[in-house]
Amino acid sequence: MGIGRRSLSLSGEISQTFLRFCVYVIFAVTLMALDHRGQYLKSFHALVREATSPVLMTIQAPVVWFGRAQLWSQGMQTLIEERDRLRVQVAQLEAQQLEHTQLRSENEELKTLLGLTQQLSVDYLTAKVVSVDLNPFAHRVFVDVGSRDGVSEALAVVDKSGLIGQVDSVANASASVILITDPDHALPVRIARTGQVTVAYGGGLNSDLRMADLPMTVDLVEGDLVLTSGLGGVFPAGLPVAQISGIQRLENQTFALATATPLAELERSSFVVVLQPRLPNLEPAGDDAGGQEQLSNEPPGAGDG
Amino acid sequence: MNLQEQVMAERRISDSTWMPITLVVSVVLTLLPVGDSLRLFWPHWTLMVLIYWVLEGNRLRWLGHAMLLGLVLDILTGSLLGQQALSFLLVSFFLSRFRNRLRFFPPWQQALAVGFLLSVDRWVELIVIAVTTEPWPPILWYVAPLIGMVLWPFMFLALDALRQRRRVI
Repeated sequence: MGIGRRSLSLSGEISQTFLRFCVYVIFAVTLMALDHRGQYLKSFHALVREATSPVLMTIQAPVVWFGRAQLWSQGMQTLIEERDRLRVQVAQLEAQQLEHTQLRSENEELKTLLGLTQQLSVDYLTAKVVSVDLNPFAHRVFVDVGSRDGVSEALAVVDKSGLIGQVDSVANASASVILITDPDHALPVRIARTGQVTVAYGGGLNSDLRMADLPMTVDLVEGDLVLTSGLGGVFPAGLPVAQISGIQRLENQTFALATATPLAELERSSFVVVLQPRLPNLEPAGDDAGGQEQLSNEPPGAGDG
Repeated sequence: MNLQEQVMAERRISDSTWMPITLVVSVVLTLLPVGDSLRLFWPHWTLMVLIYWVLEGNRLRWLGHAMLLGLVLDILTGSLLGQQALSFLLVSFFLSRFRNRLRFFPPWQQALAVGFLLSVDRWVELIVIAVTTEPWPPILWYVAPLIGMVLWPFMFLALDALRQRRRVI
């Protein structure tokens, strides 16, 4: 009888545990469903990112120290060499920059002559990638700039060789960037050689881009450069994105399928640049200058005609 | 009797200092940016430490503990909120059912059981990946629980030694 009572109470205890287990599981699944749909927990996520970003930065610290220690062990000589190399590079880039500003002003003049809308000029904001992410399949990176640096949603993010993605959500001192390879990401692009406009979707795991709605007769070869088209208004036009790596024209399909390899080192860059459109408070001055040029240039042109 | 009580009390004190420390260290280890190549093989340290404390320390035995720990990890890693909470819950539930048996398994058999519990976490993530239509993980992704399984006896001994030493002092 004693044994009977004990087993009874034991089974009772287990069923209670099981009941509690079920309640918790339902709670967890509900949370996941709410989170997956995103809208309900969005503000919660922003709050949490705010709170946890110092923790993540702290965890990252040992890796940063390790990197510094490596630098020390490299010795003075290599560091001096690298500094010299970088100085030369900076000088070259500055020279190119001069040419670039000249071209830009020329370009703007020509555009005002043609009566086109002015292209937005951008500010460059350098950001460091925080490399803490448990999930290797999340096509997202965190950067250490946030709303206090003027970052807002949907800004384009590039590295030295091409487009990386766009800002997805912003906290005060950090932001999450969704990569162009994310399966949920669609990017309006233009093929540089032919001007063909299409949409590049993230390919997911294999970190390629897919273009699935090209006409069968499209003029496209491997190695073609893919640029942003600027359509849709999120990305500035003409940023290098990827290179065509393969084209498939399947018999029974309506559209040709192309894959492209991103030019940017998507998950290996440690520094990225956020492109901030400059607010139009500087534009009136540019407009005035353009207008004056237009006035002074027009009479001779009209006379020639 | 008196001596035994004293030893037990000291053990309790040492456990309640070591448990949070080991948990924090395991969370840091789990979050450590180890690079893409190593990431696939990185065992789930927090889950292993949780299993240790449930089995040996008789701590964190409630489902709520596992749930909270999972939620904290979800928040820190930015995974789908509730995903790791769910896998921790499942592991905790299995542990609550089989704890007494697992404790008296020989080490290799216990390691196998821990390997199974660590794969539960992978299966939950696989289901989440399937439901949210994320891209499918590579085959190497299943290696991490095996590595956790191999490391388990060593971690077990290390944590035991840690608690033992504290008790003597």
